[in-house]
Amino acid sequence: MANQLKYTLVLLVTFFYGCSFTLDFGGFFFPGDLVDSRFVQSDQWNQTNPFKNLIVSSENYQLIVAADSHIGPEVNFKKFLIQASKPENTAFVIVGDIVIGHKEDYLILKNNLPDFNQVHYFLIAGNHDLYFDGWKTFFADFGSSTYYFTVQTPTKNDIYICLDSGSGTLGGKQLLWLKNVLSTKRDNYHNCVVFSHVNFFRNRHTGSTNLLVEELYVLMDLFDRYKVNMVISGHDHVRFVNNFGFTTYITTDGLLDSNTNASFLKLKVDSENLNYEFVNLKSLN
Amino acid sequence: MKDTSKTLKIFLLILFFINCHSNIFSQISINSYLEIGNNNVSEGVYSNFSSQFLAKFGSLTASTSGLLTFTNANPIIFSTYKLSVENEFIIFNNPISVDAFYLGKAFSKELNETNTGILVDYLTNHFGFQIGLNARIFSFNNEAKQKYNFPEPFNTTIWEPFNLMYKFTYYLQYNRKWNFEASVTNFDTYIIEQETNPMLLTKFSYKLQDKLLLYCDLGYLEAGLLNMRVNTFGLYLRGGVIWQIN
Repeated sequence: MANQLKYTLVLLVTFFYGCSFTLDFGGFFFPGDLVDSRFVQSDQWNQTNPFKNLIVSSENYQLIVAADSHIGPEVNFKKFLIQASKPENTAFVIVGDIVIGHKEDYLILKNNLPDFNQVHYFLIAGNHDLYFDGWKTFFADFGSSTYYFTVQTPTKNDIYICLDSGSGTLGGKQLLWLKNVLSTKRDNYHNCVVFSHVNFFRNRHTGSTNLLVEELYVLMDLFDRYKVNMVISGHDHVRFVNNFGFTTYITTDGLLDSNTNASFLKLKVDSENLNYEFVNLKSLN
Repeated sequence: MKDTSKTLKIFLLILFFINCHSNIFSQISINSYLEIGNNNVSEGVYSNFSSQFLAKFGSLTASTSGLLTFTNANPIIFSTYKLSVENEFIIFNNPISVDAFYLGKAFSKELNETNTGILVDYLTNHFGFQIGLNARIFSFNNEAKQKYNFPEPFNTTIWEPFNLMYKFTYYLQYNRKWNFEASVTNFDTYIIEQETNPMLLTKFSYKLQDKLLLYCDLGYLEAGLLNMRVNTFGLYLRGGVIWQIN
């Protein structure tokens, strides 16, 4: 009995020690940054850094979306960047859990990202990006995690709204901002796509946390009322598509190196439709 | 709106049935509460009023309940309806009760949530364990389906896989009148969170008379626990009364 207890303790200590490099257990109790305070910082940043408007010369354009690269390890991320940086893509978006959260992980990310003036990219924070006080580095390097950007074709405009759901909730302030953007801007745009790190529906049993049901009610109602075309998220590491009314909820595969089904999403926009296609990294080898 | 008034009619019909046939039930009781709270989506303070009617017939208890909600987040006032049937068994000298329920909620003018589930309840002197499964369906209501007449690739429902429900409660009886409970759970009377979103509930109850119990609940909801980024989601305070009519 004493031996069993000893082995169990050794296993537990080894497990938690091993995990402590990638998981921030302090976040169970004192997360350091709260979603409302992150939103205030993002909002202040937005005041001095206007939302980007990308102008394309054709009615057809495409965006690339990925999630959960979990840098440190960077093999898949580099493969993704090669694809995402191709000139046929208007921009790429990474919807959170880009890094594990350490400063050195952010350094790898920063060193790999292309020059924004040549390849446009948009990042939002996921829970892992916040670990080990990671929000400070995210904010210092990339600024806001709550913003929107627009794409202007010769005849129409599309809006892409990026949300910070790294804490498993948008928080009251960010939710008000989202409501305001949808109520004042939505009518001016043809397509509306929302990006969030945390996925909306619980399509399988995992340890990862979704938004609380009360928050889902409010967001589903908003997306229904304002005819949001797509909600794209990551977090779950396994792709899933839920069509619900006029909104398609897409959860992307994780891009992390250990995921044998790592993929990214091609979002193809033409004058009428908004289509998507998953591209497996394996298929590119 | 049509769906809501239909639910309200069913609710009133069941109440009427219980009232007319009160003599066949060995025990009838009413559990009503008023709740005020605040959370990340309520845009200020919200309030709820709930009434539950329970009728006991032998080891079987049937209950019907409804929730009136006053919040900026949902324009529907009669938002939620619940129906449940519970049976008590003795298994290996342990009292076990099994509860099957239906929970319908109109969370916007066009969208509904429906939950059906089963819960097993086991109680000791100081601890209570409830465990079960629920199936959650989000759907457009009939009015919205007719309004939009969604063409083929559009779905009007989302089914989530079965969700685990759990409640672990510690009971402390101060004396014959005062009781205290503290629970960790992912469900409450009219809400069922996902497995990974637990909440903390505490309850103080006071037996005013043999057939009258007053209680006060305090609930704390948290977001992002297993994402290891906890943030307070909301708090509520509830005051209620359970009155055993016969």
